[in-house]
Amino acid sequence: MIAAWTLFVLGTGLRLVELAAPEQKAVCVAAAVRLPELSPKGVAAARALVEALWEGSAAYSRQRWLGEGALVGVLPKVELTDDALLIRLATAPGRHKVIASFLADLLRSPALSTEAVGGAIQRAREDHRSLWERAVDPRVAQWESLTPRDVARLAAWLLRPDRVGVAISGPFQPGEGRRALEVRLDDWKTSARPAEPPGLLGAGRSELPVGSSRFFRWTAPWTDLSDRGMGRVWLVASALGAGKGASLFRTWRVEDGFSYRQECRLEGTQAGVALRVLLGKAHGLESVPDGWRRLLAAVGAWTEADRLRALAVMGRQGPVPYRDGALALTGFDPTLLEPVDQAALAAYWALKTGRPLSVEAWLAEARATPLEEMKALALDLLSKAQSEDSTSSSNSG
Amino acid sequence: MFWVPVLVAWLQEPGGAVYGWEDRSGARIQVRTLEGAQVAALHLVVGTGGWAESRERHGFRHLLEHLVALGPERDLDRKLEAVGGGLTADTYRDASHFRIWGPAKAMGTLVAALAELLRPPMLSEALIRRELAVLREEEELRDSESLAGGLLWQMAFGEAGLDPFGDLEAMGGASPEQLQGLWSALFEGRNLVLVACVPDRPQEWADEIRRRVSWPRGDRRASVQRREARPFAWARSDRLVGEYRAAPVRGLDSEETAEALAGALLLSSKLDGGRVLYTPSDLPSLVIVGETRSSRRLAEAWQKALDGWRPADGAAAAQWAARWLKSQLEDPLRAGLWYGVAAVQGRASAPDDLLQRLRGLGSDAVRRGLERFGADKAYLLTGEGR
Repeated sequence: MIAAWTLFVLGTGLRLVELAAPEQKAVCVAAAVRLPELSPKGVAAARALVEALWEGSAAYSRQRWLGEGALVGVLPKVELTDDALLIRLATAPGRHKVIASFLADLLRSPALSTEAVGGAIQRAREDHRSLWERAVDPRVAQWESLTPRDVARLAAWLLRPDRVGVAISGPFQPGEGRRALEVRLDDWKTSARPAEPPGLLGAGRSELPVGSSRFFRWTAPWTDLSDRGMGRVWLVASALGAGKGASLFRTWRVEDGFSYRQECRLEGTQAGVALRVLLGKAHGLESVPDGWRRLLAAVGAWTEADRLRALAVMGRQGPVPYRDGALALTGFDPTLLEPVDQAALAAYWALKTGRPLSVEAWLAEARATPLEEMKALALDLLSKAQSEDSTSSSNSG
Repeated sequence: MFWVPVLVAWLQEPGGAVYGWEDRSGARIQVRTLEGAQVAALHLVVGTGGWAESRERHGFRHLLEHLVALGPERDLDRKLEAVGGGLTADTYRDASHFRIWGPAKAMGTLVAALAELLRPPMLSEALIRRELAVLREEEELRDSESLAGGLLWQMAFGEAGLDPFGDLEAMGGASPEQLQGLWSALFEGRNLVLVACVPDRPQEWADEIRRRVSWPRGDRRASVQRREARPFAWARSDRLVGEYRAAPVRGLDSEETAEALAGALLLSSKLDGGRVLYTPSDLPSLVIVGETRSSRRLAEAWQKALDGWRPADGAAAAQWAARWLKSQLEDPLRAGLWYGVAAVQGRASAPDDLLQRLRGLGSDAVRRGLERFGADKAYLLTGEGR
């Protein structure tokens, strides 16, 4: 049984979810900040902001975050997705007030001096993400003319209670976690809404990277964020990509020797979520269209065993030693995550939908989806998926 | 190999009750109870049996690992996933590691999967070619950390430190008969250790393993490889990004291993994208610290850590390192690699001994560990490639 999160909406509009989890060995907090569509310059500013937030706040330095995380073996994390900026922190049981202070202070008073942001821009610009990481987030960043002031403006515009969801979970009494965050965030009133940061919002551009491997991406949008909708699309994603028994691994890697790494991901987007198939391939690029056809044929041949395997993978509990696909919601797979990742997903979901995360409800809907419906949905999504690739691109990623 | 962020756990002692026995084949089995564990994991550790990588057969063990992990019917992972479990496999320099895991209530399926894994693999030219195609794709997707580890080991130990990933050209020459021979040499009782990490009912697990698993037998006496560190060196590579420094250490539970681990954790905490890389082994080995995002900041961070040294930093780092190892030894998904590699190398208690050393580590010792990553005391690798 997966425990349920409880949602609270503070007077400022900030959404807060709490989960009292007596068996959890850490207290986890997370924040999700809603991102609009960003122009290439806006992408650069957001990546620089992530770097700057890593340095902590005026009151709590990065070393202090690391020290808290070290108490439970969890590395703090700040990351960017298509539609959110996510912060995850954890500490030892009993320290929920401390970690709530960290998070609140980071949201309210990030260390964004001109010097600090200048350094953050420099580091973010180096963009030493691996090829795969760049394929996962291929948004183009435009660094020319980006200034620390742009980053500070973006931060001021984003870090506001009505754009933020926070979550807390851990071995505390129900209500304790909520109060720890509430007392530090309830009076978070920002001044009049700042003007949109000029040049940072608007249409973006994506370019899949080119390196020793090329990348192929197929995207099918999904807008039904109800429990039923999420249960169905998660089931399809799991049958396609979760585990080594999933169609992507079986068809492309085991049966064809076609690729080493391939993933099906559910990712948050501005419009809802998207089911994405991602493939890295270095040799025999001309065989990709045929590989795609073989995948569709494999999906068409799904049996009840495939459905049951997908459900078993979705329902498994506890940590797993790897994440191998069907990573629901921008790298999250709700049942496979460490508690700190669950907290980030809960914060994100509350922000995105105004509802508390209920993975159990998604699972119930997935279980109620019969084979033929699962197959039809998968084929529909895959046949309509928009494809992109880096084979004809001249960029170096 | 695995990367160690700045980590840790706490709570009670690792290990718990251990059932251990030696099968008639010579295989050694441990059943460890890790109370509160959410999953059970069976770790099969296969020693190298003295079978050294060489230029001519560089990567044969990796190729064999890929083929064995599929199971004789090529459906092992599917069977495990059907009960909410899974299987992973990795090839290290001193052992291969197969991890079968899943809910404890699926004991029968997990143990049956282990029994299947120990059956001779299906090998044919076609299967080998297919797997080689996968490995060629894997090679192109390797990240900087993985490449750095491979290069540093070779700088430090020459041919005895060859990257276990292997050489695709050499692997291309592998025949089914050669791989069958390698399987027979490696998968024989004396060269096998099973560490079962279970949340409860250890006796039942032990009985199930005794009842269902048939251990391959051979007549070879497993021997341990030797390797010696070479003079320190510096290299650049345009295939990777970052700066990496590797300190040579001897023995899993040696004083210098403990010092270097704590020093590396301290240094990594001061870096963007800082990482520590250590593969458990009782042979001469490397503790690697890496700055994965730039080739310019590690030296500066190291100097600053020494110049601004405070005994409190050392004490904190020693605590981190001890807590990190404790968290590893309490994790059913990770503990088996530590105990398994130590057992296959003949010193089953070495991980616990290392933990004791880390717990007793003083601030001065951590400083010595940090000093091991100085430019004149470590292997250095930089890259500004992809």
